[in-house]
Amino acid sequence: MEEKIFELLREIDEEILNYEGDNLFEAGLLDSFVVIDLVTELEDAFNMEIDARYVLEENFRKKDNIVALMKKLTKYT
Amino acid sequence: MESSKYEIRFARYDEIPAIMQYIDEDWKKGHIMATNRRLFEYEFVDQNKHVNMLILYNHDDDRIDGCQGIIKSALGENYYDSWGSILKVRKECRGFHGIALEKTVKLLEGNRHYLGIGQNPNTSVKLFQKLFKDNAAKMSHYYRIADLEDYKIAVINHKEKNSSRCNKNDYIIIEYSDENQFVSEVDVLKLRAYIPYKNKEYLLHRYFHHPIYQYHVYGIYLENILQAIFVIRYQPYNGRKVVRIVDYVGNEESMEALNEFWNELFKDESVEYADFYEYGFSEQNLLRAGFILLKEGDTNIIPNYFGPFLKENVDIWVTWPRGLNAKFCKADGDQDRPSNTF
Repeated sequence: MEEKIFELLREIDEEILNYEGDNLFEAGLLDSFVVIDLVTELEDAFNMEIDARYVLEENFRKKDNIVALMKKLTKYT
Repeated sequence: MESSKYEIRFARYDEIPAIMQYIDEDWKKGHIMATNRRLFEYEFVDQNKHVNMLILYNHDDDRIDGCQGIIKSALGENYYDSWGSILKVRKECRGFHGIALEKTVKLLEGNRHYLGIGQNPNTSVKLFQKLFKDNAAKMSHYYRIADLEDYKIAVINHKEKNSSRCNKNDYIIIEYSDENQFVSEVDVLKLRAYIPYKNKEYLLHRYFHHPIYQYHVYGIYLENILQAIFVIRYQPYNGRKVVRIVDYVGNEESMEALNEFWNELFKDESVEYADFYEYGFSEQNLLRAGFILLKEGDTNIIPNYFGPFLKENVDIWVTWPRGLNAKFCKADGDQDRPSNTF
């Protein structure tokens, strides 16, 4: 799963994978519209729908948070 | 929101000057919503001075960093449908603030259906489709041209004929000369059946109390019973006029009565054409009303922008929650809004 997510993030910006800070938005590597695209990519990759209530800033601040979100969501689907 | 720096809340009445200043700084210098307080209040302020606008308030810098206006389709009721207007967040505020504003509007108590009109297809439309799984579409643009030798507003490269006839001959169309006449008549329409639900107070406010535009409100009657109302606005330009049909509420089949209305309209030889942007109406009813559909890539040009005038066909996008039979007209939300201070 992680590799699949990292591949999608790499397609947006390789820097996201190297980023060690705690806020991709503050670092200018993600913005809300990119996240909307990413959500669609994640839905396609994992063949699921991500409900709007999970599309929160805290779930996308770091690559690890994105992985954690997807692990949580795929566990329940 | 988890960050204490920002708060999303309704703006207070005394914050209107600060919002207008924010729009001027961050949206567009000299934007009519930044310069015309009367129009701002007409669009966003209830009778009890409640401001229908969420703001993203930055406590650290003590300033407004974003806004999202809400235009309700039913006034003075516990529930309503609504359209968004003026969604803006300062560029330097990185994060989810735009999404947070939209989510907050969606979840407002009483907000039955949140609809979008006039959104940017690359940003807001995408957001609504992907985040809220809303439907999205371009409005259809219908028109009816007067038979003139030349056209100064439209570009007419081909004249299509629509020879549809009205099925019934006994429709009567009446213009309501004042709001009292309108109020006493409109009760018979089952307005709650439509999405968005436009109540009488909304229609009255929208079309009889506009601070700049003058609208003409008509009723279509069959056997003395009101079937539908429609609203037009004359748009002058270059010594000619355009008739914009900006709203239609009621029995859709009665739209065929318009077929007889064109002759009346076009008696005024300065009228070049009538047009109607819509989504959700039956094509059959629109054709029976005598309209022609402006097609994708059409060589005819039926302009939409007049302040400043733009001689080109314009797409208007709409979004609405899945599974709803929502209808859209040109004057919904903030779409038929003047852009200049006259």
